[in-house]
Amino acid sequence: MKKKSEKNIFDRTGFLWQAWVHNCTNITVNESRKFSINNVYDIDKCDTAGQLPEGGPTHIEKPGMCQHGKDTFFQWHRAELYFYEQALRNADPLGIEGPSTKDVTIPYWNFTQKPTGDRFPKAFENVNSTLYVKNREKGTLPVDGPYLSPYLLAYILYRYDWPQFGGYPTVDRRGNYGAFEAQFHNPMHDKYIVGYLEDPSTAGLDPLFYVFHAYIDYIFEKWIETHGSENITGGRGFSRGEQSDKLPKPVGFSEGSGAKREPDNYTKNMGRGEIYYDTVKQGYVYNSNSRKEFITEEELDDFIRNQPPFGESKESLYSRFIRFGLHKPSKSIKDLFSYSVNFIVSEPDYPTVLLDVVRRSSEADYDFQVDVYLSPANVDIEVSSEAFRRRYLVVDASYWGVQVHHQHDEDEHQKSSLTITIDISDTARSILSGKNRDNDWMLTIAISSDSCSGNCQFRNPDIRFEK
Amino acid sequence: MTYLSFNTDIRPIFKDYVDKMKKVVLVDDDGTESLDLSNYEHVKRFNIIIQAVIHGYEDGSTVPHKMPPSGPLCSDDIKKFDQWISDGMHV
Repeated sequence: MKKKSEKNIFDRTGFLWQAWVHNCTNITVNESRKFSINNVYDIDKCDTAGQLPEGGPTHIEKPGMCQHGKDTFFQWHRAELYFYEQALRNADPLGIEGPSTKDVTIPYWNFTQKPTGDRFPKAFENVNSTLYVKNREKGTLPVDGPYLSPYLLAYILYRYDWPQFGGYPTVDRRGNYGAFEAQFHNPMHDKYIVGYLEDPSTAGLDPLFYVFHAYIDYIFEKWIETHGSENITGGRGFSRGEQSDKLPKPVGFSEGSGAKREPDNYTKNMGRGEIYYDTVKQGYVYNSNSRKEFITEEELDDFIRNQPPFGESKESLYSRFIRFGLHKPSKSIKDLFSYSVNFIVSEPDYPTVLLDVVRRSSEADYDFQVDVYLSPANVDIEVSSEAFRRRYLVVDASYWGVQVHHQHDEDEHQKSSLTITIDISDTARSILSGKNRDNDWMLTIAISSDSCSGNCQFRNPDIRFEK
Repeated sequence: MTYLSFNTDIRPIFKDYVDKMKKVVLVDDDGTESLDLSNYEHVKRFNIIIQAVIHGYEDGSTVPHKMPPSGPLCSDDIKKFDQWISDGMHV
């Protein structure tokens, strides 16, 4: 696929175009739709205009735009992987330059298990491999990554319903991250893998992106297997991405309404999200070949069965989920910003407890991690204390600065506020079941960020009780 | 009764953003389309999404992409757009 792109960067079955599908919303294309380069990484951002000779006629094409922070995150990325796999099979089906690619599938990388390399699958760390890129994070495993915990993954996989797990629709203005995206996907991009994956417009340039997302697709499949697909929202919408008309289409594919450019030898989009729910129809299933890829529900139940009510043991359930050690904020303690408010454990008629973490308007978008603590009001709030964190940590979530990276925003300043909603109902219920139910409690959010340069501005936590 | 109209009241609100927003492909249950904010049919078709994103700068909004990216429209223009929808989106 890389060679195809080197021969012609506008070949939609090449590696570069497939990388652009993730989030290059506009590409300048010459009249012949043909242009060669020496190395596929000579173009490492969504900018072809600077490569083409000046003066010739050009037009704009729109490779694609990923879906994040809403209920179409899983469907869009499944569609992307479907077409990427077709392009991979189309790379060298006759096996002229090596083994035939006609039946190849994208492997998945289970990042919740010990990697075969130092940090990634071994093949991706081989500097002589086409799978290698040099700008990924290096070194051994972090000791503070809840996003690597198979127990935490199992918890949100089995216990969370669709919007809580998969994201909220935008049409009613409440679009927002599901727990998987905020707690696993985002920190894996910008804390664990890094490099090209720090930015949505370049993420697809790292081959690791596809095996990382293939495991996310397996997680989506596992959620569907557990909960069914009936309550998934967002599936009627179409997935943005222009693909080669040569590639086999998914079963049930249609492009919907709208005009096309000439020549119309491309798909206007990747079809409705819902056509991808049934992988068998699309010709693939996940088969772990007896490898154990997920903690089972029974194992999860065993794990949490003897957990005392929240606040009554030295270690909260969330702290226990984190198998690599005590969770720490992402930056040094002295740079933390924390905000605390009184917390009424529950309103009996409103069993759902939602926490809105609101980042105030700022001149620029920035990544951050939020850690949520609940502690009795008579206990000193000491986020710098390991014992405090271990005992009172409820959950954490991360925001990946997607907005600023979207290509149409590239020369603009972001001045918007931003909200991440976190469901803390389970912890509230746990407190209600214990002896501290009548105590006053304090809710604290601790914000850490490597990129806001001391200008992190957040509102006091906002707690909502809903039916 | 006089209603707000797209040509008189709404198109001028978006005139500075037309070229920029043509880069953006929007999706709905019918298909995909490059957004032309000067086109009545486009704005009518995607009115719910447009309404959500221009309200995106309000405190507490969870919309992932606020619009316009350079900063919020003035509140009178946002109210006018809301009213145009309530009126039935007249040309």
